[in-house]
Order: sequence, then C-alpha cells, then structure tokens
Amino acid sequence: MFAVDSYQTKFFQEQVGAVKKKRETVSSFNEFLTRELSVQLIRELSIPSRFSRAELGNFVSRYLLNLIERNALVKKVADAIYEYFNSPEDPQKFKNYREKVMSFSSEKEKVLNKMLNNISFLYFTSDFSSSLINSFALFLLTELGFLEYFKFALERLKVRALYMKKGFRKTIAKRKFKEYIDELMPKLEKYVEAKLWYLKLMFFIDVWNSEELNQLFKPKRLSLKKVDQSAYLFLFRNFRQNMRLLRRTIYLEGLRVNRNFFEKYIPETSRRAELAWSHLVRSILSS
Amino acid sequence: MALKVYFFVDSCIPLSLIFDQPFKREVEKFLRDVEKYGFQCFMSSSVYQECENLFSRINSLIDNTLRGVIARFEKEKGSDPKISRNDMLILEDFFGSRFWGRQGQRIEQEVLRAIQIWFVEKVEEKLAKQEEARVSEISREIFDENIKLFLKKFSLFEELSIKYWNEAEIEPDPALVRVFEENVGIKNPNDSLHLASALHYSWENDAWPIFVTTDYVDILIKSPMLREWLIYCSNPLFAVYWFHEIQDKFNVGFSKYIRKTERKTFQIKTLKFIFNRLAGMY
Repeated sequence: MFAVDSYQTKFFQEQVGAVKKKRETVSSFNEFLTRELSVQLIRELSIPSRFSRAELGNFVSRYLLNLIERNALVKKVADAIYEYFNSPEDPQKFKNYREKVMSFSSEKEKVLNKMLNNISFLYFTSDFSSSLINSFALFLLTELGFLEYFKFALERLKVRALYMKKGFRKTIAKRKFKEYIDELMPKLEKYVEAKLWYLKLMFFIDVWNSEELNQLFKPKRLSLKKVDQSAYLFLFRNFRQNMRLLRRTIYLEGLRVNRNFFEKYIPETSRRAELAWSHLVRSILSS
Repeated sequence: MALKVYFFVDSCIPLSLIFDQPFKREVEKFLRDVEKYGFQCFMSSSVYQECENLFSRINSLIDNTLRGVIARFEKEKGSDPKISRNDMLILEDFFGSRFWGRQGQRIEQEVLRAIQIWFVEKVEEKLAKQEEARVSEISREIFDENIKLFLKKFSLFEELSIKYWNEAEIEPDPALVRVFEENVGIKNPNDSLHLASALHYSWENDAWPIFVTTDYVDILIKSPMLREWLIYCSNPLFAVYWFHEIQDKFNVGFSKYIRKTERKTFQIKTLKFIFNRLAGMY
C-alpha cells in the first residue's frame, strides 16, 4: 500500500528551486524529498505515546529513501523529474522526463490493477468496515483514471516539445507548452493532495497497529479498534473529500478528452453481482 | 426575459438509470430534455448523501453476511474450512437462521436471498471442477465481484452527476423541513429534507423549483398540495411541461413572488414568514 509514487508530489515542484540554488546533488534531492514526505505524513498526525515524533520521522524518511534507491525505475523517474524541473523549458529534459514517467505509469497501472484485484485481502487481514475498504478501492480506481489523464497530458506536451526542438513555429509551441503545463499543474496538485490524505490515513492506521518502529510497513493484522477514533474520523473525512474533488477533476478532464474515458478503466463485473445489486436496489427503492 | 427554473433530482433518478430499474426509460427521456433545452439541474446534498448511503448500506449488508458465512463454517469445521457437496446443508441452515427474526425486515431478507443465490451458484461452479473448495476463497471471489460492481456503479453515478447536474450544497432551514413533515404529511424524513433543500436553494437563487422524482407513493401523489407550497413535483416524463407551465404562469422570480404576492393562503404566509426570518427581517 505504501508504494512510493509520491515523486509527483508538490514537494518536488516547490522545493526543487531551493535545492537547485544550493547546487545539491540528485541523491541529496531524494533525501530531501523523502524527508519532506515523512514530515507531511507525520505533521499534526495523532500518534501513540510509545513513539517519539522525531524518531518516527527519521525512520519513515530512511524507509522511503531506501524504497526509492532500491527501485531502479522509481530512481530513474526521480532523477528525470529533478533534471526536468530544474529546466522546465528544455525539450530534451522534458523528453527524458516523459519517457521515464510513461514507463513508470505503465508499471504503476499494473500494480494498481493488481492491488484492486486483491483488495478483498483486506477483509481477511483487518476489521475494516466495507465503507473503508470500498473507499480504498475507489481511490485505486481514481489513480488509474488520473494516470490515464496524465498520459494524455504528457502526450500532448510531447508534440509541443518536438515543435520547440525543431524550431518549427518555436514561439507558439513554447507558449502552448507553457499553457499546457499551467493547465496540468492544478490537477497534479489535486492528485498530490488526495494521495497525501490516502497515505496519511494508511500510515495512521499502521502506526497505531505497530508496537515498535520496526513493525511499521510490515504485513500485519490491522484493526480500527486500536486507533484514535476521533483522529481516524477526521482523516477519513478528509481523505474522502479530497478523493471526491480529484475524481470530479479527472472526470471533467477525461470526458473533455474522450467521451469513452470511463469505459477505459472501469472493471468488468459479473452478471451475478449485477443481478444481486439490481434486486437489492429495487427492494430498497420500493420500501 | 425567461424565468429562472431549477430542476432538482430525487435519488431514484440516478439509481433507476444505474441499476436498470422500472423507471429507466422515463429518466432517460428527462435527461434528453435536460441536454436538449439546457435545463439547470441540481442534486441537493441530502440526495447525494442518500445515494451514497444506499451504496454503503448494500455493501455492508453483503459484507456482514459473508463474514457470517465464514464464521459459521469455522465454527463447524475449524479454521480455514472447506466446503463440499455434503456441507451444502450447513449453508441452508445458516441462511435459514439469518431469516429467523427478520420477518419485518424486508430489505435484510432481500439481501440474504441475493447472497444466498450468489453463494450457492459460486460453490456449485467450484464443485463442478473439484471435490471441495475453500470457503475463504469463495467469499473472497464474491467480495471481489462485489467491489468491482460497486466501483462501476458508483463511477456511473458520479459520471451522471457531472454530466447532468451540479450539487446544490445546502442545509435546509429546519422550519422548512417541518413544513413537509407536518403540514404536507411526507412520511419519509429524507424526502422532507430533499424537498426543503430544493425550496431553500431555489429561494436563495431566485429560481422556481421543480422536483423530479418517480416516487408516486410518497411524493407525486401529493403534488397538488406541494404546489401550494410553491414546489412543483413532476414525473421525469412531464418535467419539461412543468417548466413551460411556470414560464407561462408567472412573470417574476421565485423570491420576488413570495415577497410581493397578495395571495393570503396559509402556505404563502408561512413561506413568507420563514424566508423573511432567513433574510433577517425578523
């Protein structure tokens, strides 16, 4: 659940400038962003008294950094992002960034589909309510939708970048490129915001279900009975709200791009399930 | 200048369409009208919440029943139990015991029936290929099918919301809700909330409200009475005609009409009082 695809987070965009000024290396950039992500995860989060906030922060940063360093593809993407956001108008940097992100997106799609197909695993390893499990499933589907849109946006930018490189109508292409980037950024921010709430919620449940630091991120039976209830409700509400905003954005954009946008990532359903639900809705509506 | 008219959809409008319910064709016709005439359509927060609750309710009923099946088999056969032809009667006993004591709970009974068929078909499908099957595996497959269906239907629901209507975020004044509960005699508290939301939102936006529903039993049957309270309730087939009716009948906006009308009925006086209070005039 804690796959670090947070390379798309706003910390990257916001903080790259600061890193650039300091002329730091790519690896220190990765350290920087994992530190930032862990700060975002832990800040204002209710945690059990057995953990100290500083220790937890260090542990999470180290864990995330390790995750990036170990995954060659994620590392390449992180490098490409670092280079691209240092010179966003350089078509070559963009090309490199796009290629890496596209290949990462395909991988990510496979992972998300796998997770979606195995979401019922949570029924057997937790006491989560169906509303929480379904919300997680909905978030995975939302991410798939976002990837679909993101790939389209990058494809569109690629064409402009090619024009810029070849010098053909260079000024117009440059302006369009910037316009598309400006259009993409708010959507990216919404995604990052929603993803952050998702990660926060998962992390929160994980922390309250861990007795020691080294139990964090390890498979275990998760129980909502162990968590701080009011904090949980707050996180769950915010997660749902941000997911809804993101879904709305994706739908609006998706439909603008392609009328059949939905069909592209909605899962196949069984006839039996269709019949059961239809029957149930009928009895509820007529009750 | 044309008067502002807002259409408010009831929960049965999206649900009929998504779940192939009997009123589907009427709803489709209404949505064609919305596109054709560019009507301004809304779904109040309370209706949105009701739809969301319906999804959760079905999910949690299915979830609880499946967990119950697993627990029953664990009790009978120990951990990670398997099911064979000889165990089918445990299933019957489980569902039978669940029906017991739920005589008045029609929906819960329907859920049990639906899952019973679902489960038995699934087991027989498995047992056609092998001697016995894991109960957890069967339950898991049903959970998966259920989640996928939820995702599909919920996405369709959201798609409709984006294509055809905006959310009217409103918490209606409690006095308006009471009007529908006590004066009109709407039995379902949710319906009173939906109608009050439509009326309140329309007043805030100076638009005439048309509430579109397929609910004859609780709402449409009271249409004439509801019109006295200045809310027009319509079957989706005829909503467009109510739009024209309002355009022909009135020559001022909704809020202005309430303020200026010389009609002295109890309903108008009550509405005037409530809306004046909301406007801070008392």
